[in-house]
Amino acid sequence: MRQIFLGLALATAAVSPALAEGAEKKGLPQLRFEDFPPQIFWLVISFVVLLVLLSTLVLPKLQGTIEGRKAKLEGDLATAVSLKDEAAAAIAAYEKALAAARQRANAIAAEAKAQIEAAAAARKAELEAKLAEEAKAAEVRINATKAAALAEVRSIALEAARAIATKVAGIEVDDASAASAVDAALGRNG
Amino acid sequence: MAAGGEAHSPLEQFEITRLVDLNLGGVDISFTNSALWMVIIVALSTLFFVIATSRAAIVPGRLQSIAELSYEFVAGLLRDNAGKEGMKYFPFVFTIFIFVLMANMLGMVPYSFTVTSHLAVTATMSLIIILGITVLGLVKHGFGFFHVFLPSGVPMWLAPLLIVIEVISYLTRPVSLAVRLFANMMAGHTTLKVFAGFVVALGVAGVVPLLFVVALTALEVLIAFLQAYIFTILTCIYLHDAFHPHH
Amino acid sequence: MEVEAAKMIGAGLATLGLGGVGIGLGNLFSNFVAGALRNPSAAPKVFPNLLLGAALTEALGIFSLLIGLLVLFG
Repeated sequence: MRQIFLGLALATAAVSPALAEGAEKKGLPQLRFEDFPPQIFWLVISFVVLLVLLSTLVLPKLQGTIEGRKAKLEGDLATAVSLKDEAAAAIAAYEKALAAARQRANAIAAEAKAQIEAAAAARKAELEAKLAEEAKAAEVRINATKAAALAEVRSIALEAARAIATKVAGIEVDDASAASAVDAALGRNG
Repeated sequence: MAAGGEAHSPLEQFEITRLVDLNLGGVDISFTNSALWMVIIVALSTLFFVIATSRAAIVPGRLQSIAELSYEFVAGLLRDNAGKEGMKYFPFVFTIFIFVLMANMLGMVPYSFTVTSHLAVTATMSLIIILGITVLGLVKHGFGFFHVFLPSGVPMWLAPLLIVIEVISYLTRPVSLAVRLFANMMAGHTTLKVFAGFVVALGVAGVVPLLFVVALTALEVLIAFLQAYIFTILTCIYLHDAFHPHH
Repeated sequence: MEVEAAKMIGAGLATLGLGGVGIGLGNLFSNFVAGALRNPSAAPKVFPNLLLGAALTEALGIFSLLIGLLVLFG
């Protein structure tokens, strides 16, 4: 669209009296070849100056800044990654320690339990043994007492039988026969 | 066109006027208004970049961001289009971009002179670029550089025709590179001038072309950037041929 | 003035070449928009190519414009 306007404009310009009259300033200023050398000369000069100025003053600094930033960013990222790794390692170590502690605690608890159980069992066994012993002793004592009582009953019966026999029948019974008779009677009665 | 006084041609803005007459061995090297604006371009761009990079902070300020953005922009263009080997010519390409961009942008300032609207300037730049690239390709690849004119995998019977076409297209490169920039700049500025003339001529109704001029100015600023971009990217693409003639 | 009149006509004819640029740029941008709508994520990748194509296309039109300028003023 611009070009169409331009065509219009140029047509206007071409017929405008200013150009038609100005004999020495005719045609496009861009196509006046006598103006080329100074433009080219100063273009080369200014371009080279700009090239030298930019490539010495500006570009190394700019490149340094950008690369420095990139390096710093990468360095920071690397630090962050290493810190993260460190943190992960610390967490792993902590969990390992925690697991170990838990295991040890379990072991101690089990050991304590076993000890307590052993002690309890030992005491129980001891108690039982003691009780059994006492029961045995009591039984022995009972048996002895029973035997003694039985012996006493026999001697009392023997005495009584001799005394009865003396008083009632007026006979002196000797010890041996009295004993056999009492034993027989005791044996019958149980 | 203008009310009273001398008539203003839309082409008057392109006139070269000699400020200081100079002569070097019979060659006219007068300091013209074009040269003055070239000096301004060099001074302004150097000043801007020196100030922008004076405080090289890790977290960039506003100016430094612009400087770094332009650096990354041109570096990306060069890397994508010319490859790793092209990075050696980064200062040259960067200078081309900054020079053309500043010339186009300063041309948008009223009463200024658009350096790149002159064929002499753009033709010199494009000729230097194309000749430099051709010499570079010949030095790097010797005779192999002429593979540029014969794409690989083409049947032999087609080669004569294709070589002619490729040679012509290679020869039109400097012409198109120069003419594109110069004609775009010239067309834009002439159009603006014509519409500005309408504003004066139409009196109160001139508001309509005035609005048009405002819109066109915005478009021209875009075109000014775009043409600098195109000039640079084409330089990069042509540079690619110097490194990789077998395309 | 017959030469002047012929120059005017010639320049006008030369600018007809810009019609082709109009068609070309229209094609270019319509295809870009259509493609960008189909695959929006790929659009930024081809945007530089779009600008390049636009510039190359426009340059051809500007050549014909240049011929017009040369005819008028050269």
